[in-house]
Amino acid sequence: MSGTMGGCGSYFSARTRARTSLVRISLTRINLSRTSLVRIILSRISYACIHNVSTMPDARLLLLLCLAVLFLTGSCSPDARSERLHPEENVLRIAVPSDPRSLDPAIAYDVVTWPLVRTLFHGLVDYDDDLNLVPWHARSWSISEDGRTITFKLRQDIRFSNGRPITSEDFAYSLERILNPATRSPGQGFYRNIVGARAFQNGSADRVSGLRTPDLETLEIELVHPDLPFLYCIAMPFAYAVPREEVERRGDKFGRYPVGAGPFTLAAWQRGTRMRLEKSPSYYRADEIRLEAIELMVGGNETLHMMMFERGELDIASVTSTGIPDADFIRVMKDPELSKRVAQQPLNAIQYLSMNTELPPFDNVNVRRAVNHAIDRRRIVSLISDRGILARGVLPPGMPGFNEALEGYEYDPGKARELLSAAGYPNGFTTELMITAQSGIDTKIGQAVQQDLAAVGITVEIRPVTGPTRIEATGRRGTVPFSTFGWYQDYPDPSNFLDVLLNGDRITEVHSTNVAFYDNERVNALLNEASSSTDQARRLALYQEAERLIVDDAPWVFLYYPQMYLLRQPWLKGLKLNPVWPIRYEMMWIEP
Amino acid sequence: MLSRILRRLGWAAVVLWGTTVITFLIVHAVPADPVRVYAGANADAETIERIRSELGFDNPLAVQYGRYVGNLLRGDLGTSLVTGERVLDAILIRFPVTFSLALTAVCLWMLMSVPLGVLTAKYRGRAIDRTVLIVSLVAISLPVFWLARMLQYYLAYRTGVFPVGGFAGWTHIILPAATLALVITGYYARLVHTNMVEVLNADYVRVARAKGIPEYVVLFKHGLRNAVIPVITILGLDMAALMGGVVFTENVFALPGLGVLALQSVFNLDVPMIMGVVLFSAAMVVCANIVVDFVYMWIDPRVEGV
Repeated sequence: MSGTMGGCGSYFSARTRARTSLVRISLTRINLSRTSLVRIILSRISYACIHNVSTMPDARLLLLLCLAVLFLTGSCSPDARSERLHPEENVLRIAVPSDPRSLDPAIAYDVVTWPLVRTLFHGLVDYDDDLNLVPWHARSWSISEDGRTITFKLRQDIRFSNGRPITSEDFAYSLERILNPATRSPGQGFYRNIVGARAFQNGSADRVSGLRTPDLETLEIELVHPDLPFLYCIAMPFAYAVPREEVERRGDKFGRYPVGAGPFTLAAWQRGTRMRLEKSPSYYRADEIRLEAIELMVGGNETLHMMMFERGELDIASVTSTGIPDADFIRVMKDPELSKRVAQQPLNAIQYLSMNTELPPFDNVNVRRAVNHAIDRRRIVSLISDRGILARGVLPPGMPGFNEALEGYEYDPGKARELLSAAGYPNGFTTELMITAQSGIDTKIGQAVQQDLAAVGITVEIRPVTGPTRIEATGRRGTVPFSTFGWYQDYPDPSNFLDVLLNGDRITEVHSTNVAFYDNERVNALLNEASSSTDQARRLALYQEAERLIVDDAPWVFLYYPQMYLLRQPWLKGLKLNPVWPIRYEMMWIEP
Repeated sequence: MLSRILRRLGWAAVVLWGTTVITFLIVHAVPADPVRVYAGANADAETIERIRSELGFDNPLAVQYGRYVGNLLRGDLGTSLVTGERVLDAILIRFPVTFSLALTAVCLWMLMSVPLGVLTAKYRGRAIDRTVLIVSLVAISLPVFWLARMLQYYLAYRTGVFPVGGFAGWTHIILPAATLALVITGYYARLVHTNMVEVLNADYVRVARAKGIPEYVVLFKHGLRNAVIPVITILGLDMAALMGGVVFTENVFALPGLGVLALQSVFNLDVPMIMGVVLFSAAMVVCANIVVDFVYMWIDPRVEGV
């Protein structure tokens, strides 16, 4: 201790020296508890203050004071862990990193906001835990012989929270509103298959002719071509019912002052600070809703949320897709108490590397296969603490049509080198991998890929860019050769993966969702046939065949299917994850 | 005097106009598409183009800029692409948080740095002076986000003395303000120290001492009052810079201030919001400059205006 004070020695009086050595003795010879040590240090300081008033303050005392503070803080543990630090009893308290952009179902389009929209609005059909569509606002529905007309029969006992009963006209209005260009709905593309949708969007028709309401409890939707997954589009929150009078009254601000028919209503929303949803007394199944309110803190990252969770201030550690922060994941899973409260759900999502099949050297199928063989997926998954299932194809295991027999690509650097030689690149090549700079997962994947490919002679330069830049650049034809990607389903149908991401007919010059610019005529034909088929078994067979061809052509490096982990407090009940709606607040309650 | 004020205001307008041009160009030079961000990664090309034309982003840049300035002159900073909030509302809602954070921090660091500066000037070269110098150097070199996390971990998470984060009252301001204050105190302590040493060597101080005036009166009445004038100038500018949002501190503690707003709008490529926040911060600095200049002229008549 005195050694560290070195040059200042001459400034200390003999008395101070004696006192410091006293502390040193007590530190080394007597086994003191932290608290008594702190007490001794404090008493030394107060002694010095009383007896040395006239002389200058002592630097050594400052150091002692710092030590005292350190010991004090070190001796206090977060003992609030097992107690709920929230004044309100049956109120769920969660935190989100930033404000939802809008609570308007026509606008909201992300995994954090959708569970909130579900608590405020009501839709025609919903999913059960096995991903079957079940009646919700619709009592029943039927599909015509030709597969082009869907008829919904609606319940008559449900009202908006403003008291007005909901009729079929409200659902017709809500669908038309999505298609109205002035609404600027990001979901409009899902509903363009309705007859008259394009004419309405282009302004040549006042109404969408394919939306018909013969009476107040019947809604008919006529489609341009048969489309089985269209029912899934109807189950998306975009299509939830909104009351015309409130939308017209609020205009662009409807997303700030939403009125729906869900189990909760919006009670308060201070932008950037907090949001509060309260149980709606007029909800038709109000007796099934056990929470009084949902209180959201807005702001902070997952690390802060984890601290608040461990102090008992939050009921769920994080409601984003991250679930448990990377840095805490292993500790949580090893903790016998915490790990009991982890809920886990494989997501209908995939993490992949896209290789631009139009740009050399990735226009050569053997190069793409070689890259697939050269990358050790197992290591990548272990880098994300095993929070993923190794991918052997495009469709995740929870998706209808998942093919267990797909073999995919084994990690085999020797074979990768052979394939590279066959492709005319015996010495490898140099390429650039675009990743999202803010994403920790992307960085890990990037580095692992860089090392693996270096082993077979391919030099990869990592190019980190912001999320928006990556999306823009990769969607532009002939621009990005190699990029990381993640895809999360819109609805549980293979078309949402294969058609959207790998159908050559979907390639556009800019904003292409087919970022590999993969165009195989046979695959396109299979996908197009499947999308207009009305026989589900046949569709799934066609999709499996298309997926087999795609895996063989290897436009992607199929990495892994992510899993979601949620950490809850022991007093939070009713948390049951669902692959479509990971979180369903309306089913939860607090039980101290 | 009036013409001087008018000239200053004219230059301020030019600076702000320049800010809008530069920000506008930078935001549009970024190789990313705000409409794509708005529509989400899953949207198809047709949806994106329809939304683009609804938002007016398909017009030439000059037209977009003209429209922006036109709206600006009417006091309309536009609407956020991401949250749909009016930009001016978003800024004004968050401003009080940033303002109270900055003000608390300033009070804290002045309360610490002025006595330290005076004390170290009085005992120049002694142990207290050297210790404060070393501690100051260390404090100035600390990264703000690291110090913020440390304070958050020990004083909030471990002990629960302060809230970990979020904003629900004045207690939420203390730790963030302390973070800022600890880092900046060292700098101001040296500033006060240097000015004090100079002043204490001045003839009038020697005269005051010779007359037998008590030391504390010499220090605080004759010394500090004169030593603190340049400090106030710098303080004004620092305060203005803090008003623009304290990005790291606000983000670590999840304070809903301008710093968080700025960072989020950059990540989301929320063009109107980025423009608004930058313009607002620029306006703050310009105003503070004008105010400081005039206050300085008023305090010290020897200073001639530009």
